[in-house]
Amino acid sequence: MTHAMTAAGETAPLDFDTLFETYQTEALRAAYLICGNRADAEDAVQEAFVQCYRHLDALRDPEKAKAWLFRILTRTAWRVSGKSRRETPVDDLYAGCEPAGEDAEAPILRADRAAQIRRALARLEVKQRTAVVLYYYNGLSVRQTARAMGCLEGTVKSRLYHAREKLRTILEVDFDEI
Amino acid sequence: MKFDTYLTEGMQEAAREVTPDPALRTRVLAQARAAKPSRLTRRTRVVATLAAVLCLATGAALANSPVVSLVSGWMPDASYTSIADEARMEAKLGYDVRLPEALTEDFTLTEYEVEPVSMRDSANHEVGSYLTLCATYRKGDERVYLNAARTEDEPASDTLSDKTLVETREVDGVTVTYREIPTACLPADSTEDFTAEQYAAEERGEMFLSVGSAEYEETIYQTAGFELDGVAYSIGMHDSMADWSSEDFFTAAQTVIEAE
Repeated sequence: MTHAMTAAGETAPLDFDTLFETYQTEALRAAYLICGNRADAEDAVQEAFVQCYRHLDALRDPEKAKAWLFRILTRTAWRVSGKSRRETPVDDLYAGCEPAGEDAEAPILRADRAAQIRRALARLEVKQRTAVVLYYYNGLSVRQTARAMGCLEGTVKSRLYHAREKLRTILEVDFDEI
Repeated sequence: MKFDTYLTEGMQEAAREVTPDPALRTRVLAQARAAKPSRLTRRTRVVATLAAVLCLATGAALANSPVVSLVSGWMPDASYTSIADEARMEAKLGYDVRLPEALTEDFTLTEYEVEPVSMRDSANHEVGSYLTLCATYRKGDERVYLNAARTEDEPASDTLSDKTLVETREVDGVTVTYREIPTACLPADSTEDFTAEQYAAEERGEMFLSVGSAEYEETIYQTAGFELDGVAYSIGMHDSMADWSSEDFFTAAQTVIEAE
């Protein structure tokens, strides 16, 4: 069993349940942002956690559990979404994901921004979109993002740069910082 | 607002409505604990006789390390969906394999992977590893698996009982062995256990026990195995996955043998 350090500095086992409960929501949402639809995201997350369960012993450093999980998740998300990508027009990515029956008191600006982000992400090439999700949404470092995507750090930086430029153009919003 | 902050908060909002299905954990555990049918034959050799000592022929440091379990790598080294990638796959695998585009007229190749397999001793320490091919052939919802591993890589022992052996036949000069292995599977959260007779049968290499089905089920694992050019091939599936007779397995084996 892989072990992790507790807050008290003692060694505690990193069991699958802890890994699952800690990251299931974040993993599903990241997969959703990468794949563009909930069905593919659920398939990708299920497959990723199955791999984690079967090979938890391969995780030698429990502090790298998140990066390890997201490396697996990235590969499964690409595999799952790749099978359906040809049949899903870009405009249909994230389709039907607007909250139904939205509360009249809901923050309209936030909801509008969310819709704009979804439409903008849908227009990114999948590896640019993946880099953006892992870096900005999941908070991985450039190095962690590179390991998750199986590429060089320079490649991640390049993808992030080009993705940002494209998103700026698509979103057409002025920002305090350029 | 900074652009980075806009992106981060925007994605958080965009995914806010997406929440996990409460049944996700149950599905994960059920799938994870289910026996991988493509590995059944090799795993059964080892699981059936944990007391047996299997000595690897590779490396002095490993010569005295008994292998008691085989563990598939934590993720495939590479995955492919097109036959056009066969050369890349073989480069990854490190040896040539025969990979037909179809096993029979209706079962076509849909995906294949190069998977690492870890050999573990009784203390669960890795004592070696090797790469294998796992290919999936589908006809609608039905599926059959083709596995290949270099014979010099795998632990050299076969503890399956002769009771599982149905027929041995020469196909194009290659000896093909067809087996039918009874299997029993319990749900992941079951409080029941297998019977003493079932455990004894597993110990004798006459059946395989696993965990992960929706309810208790018994199936027959069908497999045809042969060695060719230093590679061990096995074609296998549970009888619930497709409706194949022994003749279908020998036909599929012939297809692999005759493939380039």
